[in-house]
Amino acid sequence: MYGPALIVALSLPFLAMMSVGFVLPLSESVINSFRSDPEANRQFAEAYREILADELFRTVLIRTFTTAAVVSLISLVLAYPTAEFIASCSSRTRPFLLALVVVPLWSSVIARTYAWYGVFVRDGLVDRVADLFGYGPQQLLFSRLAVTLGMVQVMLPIMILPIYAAVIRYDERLSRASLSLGASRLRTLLLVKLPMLAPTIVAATAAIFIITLGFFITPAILGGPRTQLISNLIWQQIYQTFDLQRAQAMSVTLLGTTLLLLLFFGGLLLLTRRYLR
Amino acid sequence: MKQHEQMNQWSRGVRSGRRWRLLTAFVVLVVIALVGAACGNDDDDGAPQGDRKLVIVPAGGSVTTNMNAAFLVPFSIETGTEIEIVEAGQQVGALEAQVSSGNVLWDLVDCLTADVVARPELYEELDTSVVQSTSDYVIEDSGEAASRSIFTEFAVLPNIAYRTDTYPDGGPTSWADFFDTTTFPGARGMFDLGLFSAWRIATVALISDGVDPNPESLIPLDLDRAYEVLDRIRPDVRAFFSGFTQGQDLLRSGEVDMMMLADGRTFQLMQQGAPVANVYPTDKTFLSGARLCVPKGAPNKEVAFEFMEYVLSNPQQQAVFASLSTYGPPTNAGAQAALDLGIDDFNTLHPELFMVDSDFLEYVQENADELLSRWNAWVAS
Repeated sequence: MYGPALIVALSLPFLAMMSVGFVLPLSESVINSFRSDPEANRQFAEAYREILADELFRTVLIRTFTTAAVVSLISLVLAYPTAEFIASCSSRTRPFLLALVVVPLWSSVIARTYAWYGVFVRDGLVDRVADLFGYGPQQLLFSRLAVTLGMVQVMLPIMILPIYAAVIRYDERLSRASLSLGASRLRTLLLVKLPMLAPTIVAATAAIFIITLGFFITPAILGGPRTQLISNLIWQQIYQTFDLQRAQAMSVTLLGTTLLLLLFFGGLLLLTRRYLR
Repeated sequence: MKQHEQMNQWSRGVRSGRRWRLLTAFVVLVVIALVGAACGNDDDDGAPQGDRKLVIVPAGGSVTTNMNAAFLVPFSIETGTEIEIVEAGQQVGALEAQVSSGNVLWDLVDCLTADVVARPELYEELDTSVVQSTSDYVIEDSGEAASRSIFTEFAVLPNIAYRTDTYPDGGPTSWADFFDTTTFPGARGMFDLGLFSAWRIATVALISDGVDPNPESLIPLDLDRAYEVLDRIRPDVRAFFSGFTQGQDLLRSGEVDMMMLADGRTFQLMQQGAPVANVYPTDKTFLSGARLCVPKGAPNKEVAFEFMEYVLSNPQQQAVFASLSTYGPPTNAGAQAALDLGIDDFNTLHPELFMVDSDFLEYVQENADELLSRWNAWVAS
């Protein structure tokens, strides 16, 4: 229907935008991050040696990855039953429930995060409920719990929607066949249904994981120095330390590690597909 | 093979047919739109020659509002200058990018003494034939900062601000009290503004530990001793804030009981009726000036210098600014005008009771890396 010439022509504006707005500045960052800088007394790739020797950077990098893992796991555990529940409702209630999922996605992350601030702040929602049961202030603001919850809430819709789409596409007759042949409900879920959903689940989890790696606003508002993530540290390098090269080295390290993980998830996706055949 | 033939046929059809023309028209339209958008943007940015314009980046929040009311609006009316206020928050990084790319958009920026001392090359030297009224400052200015910026107001920073409901029998009065969590238990708050915090907070920690509060005894800072004191209080530091409005929220909500803040910010909280008290520590703290600088290569730097002179030579407007901002005026004449208005501004009337932060800046600049890395490590610990 569409010829290759047309497709190339139509994607030109996008390609131009990506090369000017993404590829170009990114390559500049990569090159600059390795460059030797006599002014700062740095040899080739010295910025990398510095950040890798920096305990704070290593701690924060590891924290970023564990936080991303925890957030994607919690999101998955919450999202799958939700998706199943929405799919099990009548076709009249479904749009309403889906709207409930999507509306938060349309509102600003900052607004949602400040809503959590109001929940955790002294004399906020949590403290008032705790007070009803005779407990003192809970001091949840700036804690890891606050940051994790804030991020999970932002990520949930992005997790629910694709899983819901996969659940609704799933042919229920397969489960019925499995049950009629004597398999238990659990066995049917684990061996028949979940393998069919696995590619979507892996892809959605990977997407959440990678988006979470770059979280900035939520840890900045709900967290403290002990919960800061790698983007907060990069911000600090740019705006407080004024060390652009270190910031670039940190960004490139994050990008590199993320690409490695993408490869890992890609492999996992291939494996789950092959396992299905 | 068959498919290949079909495709050839198809693309030939496209090239000669209507679709190809449509496509060309589409691409041309997109290109025209993009070029148009880019040019239109240029027109907006570059003011027509002859028009007086001033692009200013104040410190943000209430400072911006107050500066607008006290200085910018009257200046604009008196001189017929179009003024554009940019809210940029943390702007040193952006400024560095603008100056190094040679595409400077701002004429005046809020700047810290330490910024100017650390990177004088980012700022224009003052044209002293225009900016003349710098001799009447409340405290004497010197060095790079004096030749590249003006004072706009004075703050006591850090002061101690505490909640009166937490300490009904009398709160802390000194740094020794602030760091004494046995006598004054309660959650502490501090500002985390990189180097800005690193040396100030290490210094007051040393003062709390008994070092004489003057530059001669304090410099070079005994960082090991300072961080011993700071390590002791770290479990009680519940919050670090990176903006003073955020700091006010923490104290107003009761998230912390006692914090290092700026005196003007504390007065604002008290005016709003929050149960908060302001303390000038008896064992001394710093008087710091807020500054305005002109970025190197600013498009309307002559207007910027005129505005600086307008600020310094108008004690009446300084008094208005002080009444709005609750900070001290930059000049003695301004302090007198404020006093005439009934604003008994403590810090600018008694500058001798405070240390001046510029006395520390040479040391701070030379030891910036160590100060900053120890501070960051401590904050994250």
